Amino acid sequence: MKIGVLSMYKEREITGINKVTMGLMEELLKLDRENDYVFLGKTDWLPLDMDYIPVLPDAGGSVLLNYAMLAHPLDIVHSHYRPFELSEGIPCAKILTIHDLIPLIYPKWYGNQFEYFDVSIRRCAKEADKIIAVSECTKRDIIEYYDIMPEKIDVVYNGLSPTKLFADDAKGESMPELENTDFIFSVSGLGPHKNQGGLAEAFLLYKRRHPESKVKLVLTGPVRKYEVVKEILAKNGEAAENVVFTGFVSDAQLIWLYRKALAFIYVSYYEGFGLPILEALSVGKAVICANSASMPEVGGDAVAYCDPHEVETIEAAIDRVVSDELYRKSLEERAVEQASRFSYKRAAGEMMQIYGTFQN
Amino acid sequence: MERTEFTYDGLCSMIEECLTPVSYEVFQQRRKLLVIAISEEVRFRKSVQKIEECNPNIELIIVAQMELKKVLDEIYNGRYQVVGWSGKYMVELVDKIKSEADISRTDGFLYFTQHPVNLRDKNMISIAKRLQKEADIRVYSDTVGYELYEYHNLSLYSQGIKVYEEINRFISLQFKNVTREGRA
Repeated sequence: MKIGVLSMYKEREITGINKVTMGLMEELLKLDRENDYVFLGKTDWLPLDMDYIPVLPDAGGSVLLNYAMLAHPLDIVHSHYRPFELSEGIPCAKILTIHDLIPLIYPKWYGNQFEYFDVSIRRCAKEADKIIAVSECTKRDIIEYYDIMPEKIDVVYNGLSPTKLFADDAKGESMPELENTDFIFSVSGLGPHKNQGGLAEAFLLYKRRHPESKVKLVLTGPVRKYEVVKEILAKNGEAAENVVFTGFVSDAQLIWLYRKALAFIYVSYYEGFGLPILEALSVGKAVICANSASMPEVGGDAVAYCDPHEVETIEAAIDRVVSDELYRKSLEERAVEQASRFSYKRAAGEMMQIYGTFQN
Repeated sequence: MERTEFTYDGLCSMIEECLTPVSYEVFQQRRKLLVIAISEEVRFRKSVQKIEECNPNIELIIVAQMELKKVLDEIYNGRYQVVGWSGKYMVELVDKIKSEADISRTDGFLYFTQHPVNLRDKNMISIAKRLQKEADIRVYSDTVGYELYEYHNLSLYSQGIKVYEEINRFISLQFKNVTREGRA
């Protein structure tokens, strides 16, 4: 079969959904000897050996594919993110991957994306022959918010990409200013649902209760998005000096931070999957994460959970992981095994099975 | 005429050939630029900074949504005039700009987009075409990843886009009819 892949938009740094496309396609191209893959639209920001069909993108939030499909017939169109329009009569199976429905769940925070999810993605989901959800949590949300039959939705978990970044021998690039520091590490995300404020409040509470502790909190990502954290820090005088903003870091620095950290913390209110949790587990790190949405699916019994809405429980988890070395070691011992349950090799195998169901 | 000129790929190529990637150094040749700001003010400021690095003497007229206008007025502190606008940018914007700012000597128009060829940017292209009626104005788009493109033949470009959409819509109607007849 010939399968067309519609990726996410172009990015300067490959993150999030583009990373998912990259990881999945790398493995599919290695494993799949039956099917041919082609990108829909020039996708030169992903270094994959795939040809492309030209597409003029984005008509009102949906990619028009009728004309393209008559000129370049495909057996399957699989969009990894963007909704598309393809008339019912064109003989081509339609697959849509949905990562999360955050703008529908938090419209007050993501009002500008609400219509896109409520109209374009909803319509595309209804018309799709198959929906791929990246977690059981996302599957439940699709059923609830889009009123779609469970049978139409398959769960295919994400994996780690690039794999070599998380290989055992990948030590990364050290950040000299943190060489001699004990720290808890967290990666930034965009948007209030990441609960950066709750994380800062909890860490400062821990510092107040344990003034002798030398542990710092290191946050990577777009510093300007940390306004809420900075406001909290501004009210906390000297304690605030224990929070370090690195800004954007390279992949090599990121892996070094994961490995060097005492523990990794991720207390988002909601995730469709929670890639950073998997990344931290894969390098054998003790992880503190929220007990909400998809995160328990990724963390399994290998992480310390907390309620992201309760600062006290986040603080308690920090305290236990930092102070109780035996507990921390027990989390570290379980981390790699839990991470090994997720891989793009496995995801690619599952995707091939799903593609196979459309074989005539 | 070769057959390829009538094909899908031929049409896509024709549209794409209406624009070329350029470097920010093209702004060394511009005197005054009309810029439509984006809501991500950090990214916008970086782009302005790059323009200024290439041409410290360039004049800018910035158009922004009302809430961003306040922020940009503070940032640029009178150095550049910021014209406020509410809602989608439409061709009527040109009249608003003309009523508030002196657009004489303007020789460039810059807007931001996700893709250089984009079915969504019709309003920007309409604004650009209207500006070109008034003066010799070069048109640029800045994409994610800070790539810059210059449009060469807006008329051909927008006709090509229209043909693409019309054919797509025609196919959609054809299949709708076939499906309906098939069900009847």
